[in-house]
Amino acid sequence: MEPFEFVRAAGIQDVLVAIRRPGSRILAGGTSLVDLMKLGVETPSTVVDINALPLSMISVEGDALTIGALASNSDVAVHPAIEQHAPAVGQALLSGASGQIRNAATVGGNLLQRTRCTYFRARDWPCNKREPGSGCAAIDGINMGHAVLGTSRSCIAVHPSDLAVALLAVDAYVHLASVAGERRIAIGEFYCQPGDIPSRETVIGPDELITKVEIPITNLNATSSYLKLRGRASYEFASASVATAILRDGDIVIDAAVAVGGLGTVPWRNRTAEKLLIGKQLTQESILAFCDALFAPASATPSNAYKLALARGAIHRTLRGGAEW
Amino acid sequence: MVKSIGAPHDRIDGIPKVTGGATYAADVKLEGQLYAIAVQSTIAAGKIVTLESASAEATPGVVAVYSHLNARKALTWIHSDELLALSAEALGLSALPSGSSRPVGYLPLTSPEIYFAGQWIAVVVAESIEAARHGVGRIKVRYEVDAASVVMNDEKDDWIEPTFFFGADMQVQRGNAPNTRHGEVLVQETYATPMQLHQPMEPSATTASWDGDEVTLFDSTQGVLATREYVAQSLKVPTEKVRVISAYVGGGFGSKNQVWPHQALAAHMARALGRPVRLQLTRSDMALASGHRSYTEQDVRLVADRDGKIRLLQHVSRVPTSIQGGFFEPCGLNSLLLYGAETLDVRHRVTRKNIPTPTPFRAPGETPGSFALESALDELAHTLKVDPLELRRRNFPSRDSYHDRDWSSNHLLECYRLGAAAFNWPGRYVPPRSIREGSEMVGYGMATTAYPAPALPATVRLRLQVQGLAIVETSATDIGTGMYTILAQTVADELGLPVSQLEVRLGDSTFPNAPTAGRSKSTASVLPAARQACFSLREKLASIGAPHSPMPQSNESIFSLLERQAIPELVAEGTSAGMPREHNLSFYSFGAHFVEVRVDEELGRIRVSRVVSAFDCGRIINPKTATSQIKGGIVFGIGMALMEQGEFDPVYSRLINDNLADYHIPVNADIGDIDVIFIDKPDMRFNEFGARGLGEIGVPGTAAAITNALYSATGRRIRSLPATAAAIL
Repeated sequence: MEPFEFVRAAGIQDVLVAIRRPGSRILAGGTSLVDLMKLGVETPSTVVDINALPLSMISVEGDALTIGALASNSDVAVHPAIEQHAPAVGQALLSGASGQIRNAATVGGNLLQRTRCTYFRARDWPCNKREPGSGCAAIDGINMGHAVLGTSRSCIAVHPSDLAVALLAVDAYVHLASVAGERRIAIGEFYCQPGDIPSRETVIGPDELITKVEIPITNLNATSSYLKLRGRASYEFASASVATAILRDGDIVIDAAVAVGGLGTVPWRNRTAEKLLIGKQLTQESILAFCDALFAPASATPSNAYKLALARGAIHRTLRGGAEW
Repeated sequence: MVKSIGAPHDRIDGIPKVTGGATYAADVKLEGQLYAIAVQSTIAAGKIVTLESASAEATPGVVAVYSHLNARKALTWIHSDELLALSAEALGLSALPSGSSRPVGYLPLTSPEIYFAGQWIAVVVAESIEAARHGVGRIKVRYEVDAASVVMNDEKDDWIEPTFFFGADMQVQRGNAPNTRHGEVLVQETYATPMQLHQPMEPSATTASWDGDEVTLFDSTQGVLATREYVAQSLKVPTEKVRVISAYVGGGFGSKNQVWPHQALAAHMARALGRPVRLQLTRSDMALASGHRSYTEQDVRLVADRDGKIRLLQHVSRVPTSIQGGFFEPCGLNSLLLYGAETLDVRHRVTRKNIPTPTPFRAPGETPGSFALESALDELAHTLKVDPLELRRRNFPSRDSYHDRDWSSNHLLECYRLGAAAFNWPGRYVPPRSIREGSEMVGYGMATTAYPAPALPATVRLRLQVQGLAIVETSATDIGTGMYTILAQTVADELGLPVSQLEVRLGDSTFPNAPTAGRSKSTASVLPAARQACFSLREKLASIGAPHSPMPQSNESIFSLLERQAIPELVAEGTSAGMPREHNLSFYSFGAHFVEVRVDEELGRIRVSRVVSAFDCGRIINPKTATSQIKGGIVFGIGMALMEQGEFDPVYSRLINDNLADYHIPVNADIGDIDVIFIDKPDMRFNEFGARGLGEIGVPGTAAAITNALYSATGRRIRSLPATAAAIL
């Protein structure tokens, strides 16, 4: 770990000023940042501790559920309003990490966590995300856990967040603040595919702070659920995961949202493909057609192609109902 | 008084361990102590051209940097044949005929040559562990890179035919050449097991502190005496000038069984710097600098009669070792002993690769070997459409025909019977894909396990103190096994004292000799010595006026006797003989695993829902610690079957999952019900306790029982571990 300056911010304005310094990083739960600092991957010159900020409220405001950026994963996961309005979010959070990590980790930090790509997490491998232009060791390396969607010749690192996948299915917004003001971004537009610049992971500016996440209260979101598949029963990132929400009139689908995790360089959703389900019954055939459309752009290696089969299985299971998460 | 032996006594070291009272090697903090961390090579073969340490040396807090450039002079860090012979590198070397190019063994910081990725190329010593890590990041190295090879290639590699290892010929060909007669059944398959990492909870660390010409090492080792000998040889000081203390060991599983260079290096650095030094291995170092279980490839061929009697058992193993080391997996050991085939062809071939030197890992040889052997047995059972348990009964080895000896005792058939009953084993042939429950396919699998019962001489000292305490001392270590507790139980019974009046002290090289805790031999080595010490103490007590056994016969306690005689402390020692003096017997433990798996094929999900395992390990000294040991072994087997796999990058030949984030072992949620049954029949021909060790026997066979159950559930035969979602989709 490199030595750094530590700043404890008392208010939001403090933070917004402090993060304008080059080389600064925000510390919330620290479960990702401190880990990466120990690995030498993150080498901030200033660490700005924001834990004193009043950003941990979970509340219902009108037709939206808002979650403060500093709310802990544990608190959000079991909050009654989450269970009522966006069950996939709570299920996604509970499926991630361990109890101790969920207690420390925050919602804002979760959205900004870095990939688990082994080559990214040790600084002596080539990695375009960590060190632009150095190459990608994963493409010709061990890539069983890597992405099959949204990949580029520069990077095939998978996005690790379970929460972001659930938020994508419930059409959440991320609220950002900077000294210039506040703005709101749909989660579907928050993450950047690697393209030629894998070091750029989100549209968040260097001077912006996530303040809260907003989830619309809708009948569709209330039906949401999250299924995560992985090798061991707990404490592992997803091999494939799926967040689904379905509204039906009788047997007929009238609205659908399906987001997948563990497969993409970003949380993945395709609204055009979802339209294939509208007006249909959920049959083997209609689900297959949806999956074919959803995964049409996939590009797998011999060792990670199984993820597509896993995701298809998970989608079939959740859409037909009956999968325990 | 109720007998303590045989009772499920709680661990006497349990409370200190869970309350922080147990001091591990890296808990020691001495005045003026320095901290050292190693720098690893990022290439797998070649040479260091330049190593720049100026920036690291200028880092605040950094005291010294050692590498091949200065270690010889600054640390008197010199390789020798004598040192090699005592090191982890040498184990197995004598079994590998080497021709003209005899390996010299690897010792870090002695040359610019790189033999494997992760090799230590420098060590940074600093005032704090943080400063040492900071300095490590500032070492700049330029290499000349050679082509490296970490993967075996049957045709291109040079193969060595090892001779004699682990008490067995590594090239056994006995009986008539295979001649498949009409009506006989053949199984011929290749099985593969992956590289596995020990990763005990406690990473190794050595804290060395000099006082004049004497050095004390606070170390994490399975054997303090072997460590002392190696370190003294390296330092070129008399053995008695080195003291090694390893009172608590947070797991070893073989990674702390041999002696590795860091244990001496800490002492060399402390001597050179005139301050105590702790050399700390990182999680990554635990994957690369203290051994691993190598990957294996094994061809098994079985020829059997129509009734399942095995005529030919061929088991040919291809295994790697390092460029300079000697250890290789002796996979065929159990194939020599189990199933009594009239024709045996059990051979091993070894090739040198750019990998760190492998080392024993909980049941070396038997663990990967039993995956191949017990899978092949299952394939034979399905070919014959015979219950896999019945097939094993028909091939029960009534004696050890390889060594031409009777078993000292063998209750394997009882293990089969009791295990099957507790599991509710079907007891008939069940075709694969027979049981579906909801979205899950259910399957049953079983396998045999066997493990030798060695013993070595050991000495235990008793110190009876007038204030009412009996101290038990031996250099044996408790690596989480329960040695503290079973020693207390033994002495408590023999002296008629409650365990609360005993204090057991272990893991100090100044205590009487005991063997390294490995190969399941400590119970049978140390307990007889403790009993002898009790006899000796009782004789001394008798001579000063105490009654003879059983103690106490009078109302007078042994402590008030000492008080009356004004003796502050009475000391006695006892020594065990090791293996029975004259015998023509094979001493083995046996067991059988029965496993239920549930497979959700749509979701690629495999869960081991139930394990019942029955064991014949002689008499059980403490059913509670014994059950824990065995359950731990079974959990190892579950990890091996479903997730553990060290992987080398195909381009850089570096281990990529040298950490617990990427190298997966089971978590609590992966473990279903495990029911451990002990036959508990004493083997009185082995020792007077009738007890055999059981640290390892839980592991062999478990992985095969799981993949056999997977076949039963799904009809998919897994011949290459681990069995992941990708393997069953």
